Amino acid sequence: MSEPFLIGEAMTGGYGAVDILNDCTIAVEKGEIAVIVGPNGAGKSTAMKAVFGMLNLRGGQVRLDGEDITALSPQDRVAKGMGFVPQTSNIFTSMTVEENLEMGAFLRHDDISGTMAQIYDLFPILKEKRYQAAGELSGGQRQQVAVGRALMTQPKVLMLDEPTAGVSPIVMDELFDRIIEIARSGISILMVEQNARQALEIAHKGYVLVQGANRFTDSGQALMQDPEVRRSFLGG
Amino acid sequence: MVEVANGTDFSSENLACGGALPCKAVLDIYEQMILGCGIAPKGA
Repeated sequence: MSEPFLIGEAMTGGYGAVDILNDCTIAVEKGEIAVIVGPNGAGKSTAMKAVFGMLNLRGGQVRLDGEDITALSPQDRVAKGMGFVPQTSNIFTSMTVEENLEMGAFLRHDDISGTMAQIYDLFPILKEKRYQAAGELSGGQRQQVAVGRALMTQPKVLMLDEPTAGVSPIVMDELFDRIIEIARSGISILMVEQNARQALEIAHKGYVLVQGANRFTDSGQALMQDPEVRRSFLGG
Repeated sequence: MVEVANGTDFSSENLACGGALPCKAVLDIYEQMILGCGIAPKGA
């Protein structure tokens, strides 16, 4: 079997002496959507932060396109093609929408106008509100700014930490549609989600974590049909 | 002023954080996003 495009393999580590992740493996193929679900405290966001380099691993490896990036800092991983959208504080609230996108292009030294136009095509409301302070936008629009900001680096992999937290079901569906569209453009998506059922519906691969370890791993559809997954994690 | 590794002035003006927050606070709030932008905070 070929190497996944991005893989955090057998990751073990935590923020202090206590390990939160225990031999946890997360991977995503090129242009596919992988979703991490599980109960509160399962280590979902921690697993994503470990892949992004915000957590020192005691064991395991992170590889991107076959390259071992375990020792790289998060900002160096961005330069390698990783985009990251945090769960909270993911926009600069007093900057305008367009300034937020410009901040996303911080590492770029070429013409960013084409990328910005693509993001405005993906999220038309952002073009309309491009001179408005991002902090004045609705929750769903803020998430669009956050995703747009991360896309400004033209990442190969986009990592989203609970992108639909706090948004309405309609906005959630719209965001998921845009995420599918992004994946179809060839960008791999690694996403942590509380809305497990909806997220697994669009996932090529799903990871159910419990206590920092892999409990179930399969395609999104297979996980949704698994009786134990349904009973334990999807509300029956 | 907080410098970042590549020499950029990460003052509150540049960050447009409203100017009211000390830079350490800005980094505390936005650390993950700043890293997500590929910016390396120095001495934060």
